[in-house]
Amino acid sequence: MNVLSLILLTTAAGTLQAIVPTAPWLGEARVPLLLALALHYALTRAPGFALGAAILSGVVQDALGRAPLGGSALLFGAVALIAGRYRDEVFHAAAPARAVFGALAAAATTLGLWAILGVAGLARASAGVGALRVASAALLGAAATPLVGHWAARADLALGLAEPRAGPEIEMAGVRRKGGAHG
Amino acid sequence: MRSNAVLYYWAALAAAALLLLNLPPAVSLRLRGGVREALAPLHGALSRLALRVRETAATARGIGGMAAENRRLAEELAHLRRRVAELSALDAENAALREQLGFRRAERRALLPAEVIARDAAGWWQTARLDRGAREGLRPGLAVITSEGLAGRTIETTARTCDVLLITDPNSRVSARLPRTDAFGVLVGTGVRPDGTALCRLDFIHRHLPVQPGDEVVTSGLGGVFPPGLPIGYVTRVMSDEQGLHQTAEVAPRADLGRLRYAFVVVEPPAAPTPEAAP
Repeated sequence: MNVLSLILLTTAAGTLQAIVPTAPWLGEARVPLLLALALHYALTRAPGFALGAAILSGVVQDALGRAPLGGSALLFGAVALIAGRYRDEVFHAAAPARAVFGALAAAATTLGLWAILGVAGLARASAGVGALRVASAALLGAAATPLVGHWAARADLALGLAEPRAGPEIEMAGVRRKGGAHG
Repeated sequence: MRSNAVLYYWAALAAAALLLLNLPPAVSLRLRGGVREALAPLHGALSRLALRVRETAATARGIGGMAAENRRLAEELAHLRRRVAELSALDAENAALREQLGFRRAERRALLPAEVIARDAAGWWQTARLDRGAREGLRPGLAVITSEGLAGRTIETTARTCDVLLITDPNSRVSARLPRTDAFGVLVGTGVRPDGTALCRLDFIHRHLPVQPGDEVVTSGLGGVFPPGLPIGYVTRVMSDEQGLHQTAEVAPRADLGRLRYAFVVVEPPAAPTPEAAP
């Protein structure tokens, strides 16, 4: 069921990310829905599953664009592992915490992809446009990550993958953590 | 996470990335094609839904102005009918003169209408995905136009989709001509500015030719990708290059590529009018 949820949500995020329009004053940065989904899994699932989800999201993003297949997967995977490492240090289910995670992750992956594409000679963007895109990606990541997390959690509930609790945190069925260790 | 487990996950990520980045091109293309094919129906359906919503909203906003719009369209129709009648006479005259001179008529281009269903998901390229692909005979390297002018060329195709590199993308190169002065140059995309203007740059124009703002830019037909004479845009500014060897012109595309919804793929290869035989 976890895999089914992952495939459905990745399909939805990949479809929307390529369709939702962007604005020139945002440096043409796209709403990072696939990255937000990867972060959702990094903050709610065991690291092995989260890593797989991040790689899948990255592959879908690369396949829908012209980036070398694996570039986004590498960056999303690194972000997922780092987010998973620090998720216990903050109240990660809260929207502000997710927004901060989203902003940092979107800025880092945009910067990383800019570097990869620059080295490969695949994308030409001036320093000004690149910087605007990184800043815009951070803004969009901060906005998208809590929303995607909210809807993904609702999907998890609908599929019976999460148990509603009194608090705002949703603990994943079958992947409860003990003593800070995942899995 | 225990330190061993951490190392294991980082090693797994590195291995996966290395594997994906070093896939043979054929496998990589097949994987890309698979993802695009799988999402194409959803992209198409959602794009059409979004368009329907926008059209409905525009209709609701414009109900008050429909009578005025109707009047304007009727006037335009009358004007266009008059123009068609004039052009029909000119067409007949042109055909007669061509026959006398032994020129073969330039073949009409076969155009395949297509709908834009998605854009580049990462936002680093000026590309558009169309809902037509190899099934309809499309392949990389075909010109894509709109009713206003040149939009770009196809670069990747799957069975049901094709990606178009727009002329505003910095990776795009188009051999262009300025009909007024018969100057040639290479049109390079410069991306979209934060204020929304999409411009191109025409490089390597002969320095002695009197290029000026307002000059029309069309495809030259050189290079074999774009048929000759397709309108591209207009010169907005002329500059001399740093060494003073050439002129460079800023070009505003005729087609509004930021709002591209429909396009036509020029299916046939370019056919330039050539003299068949001297009479």
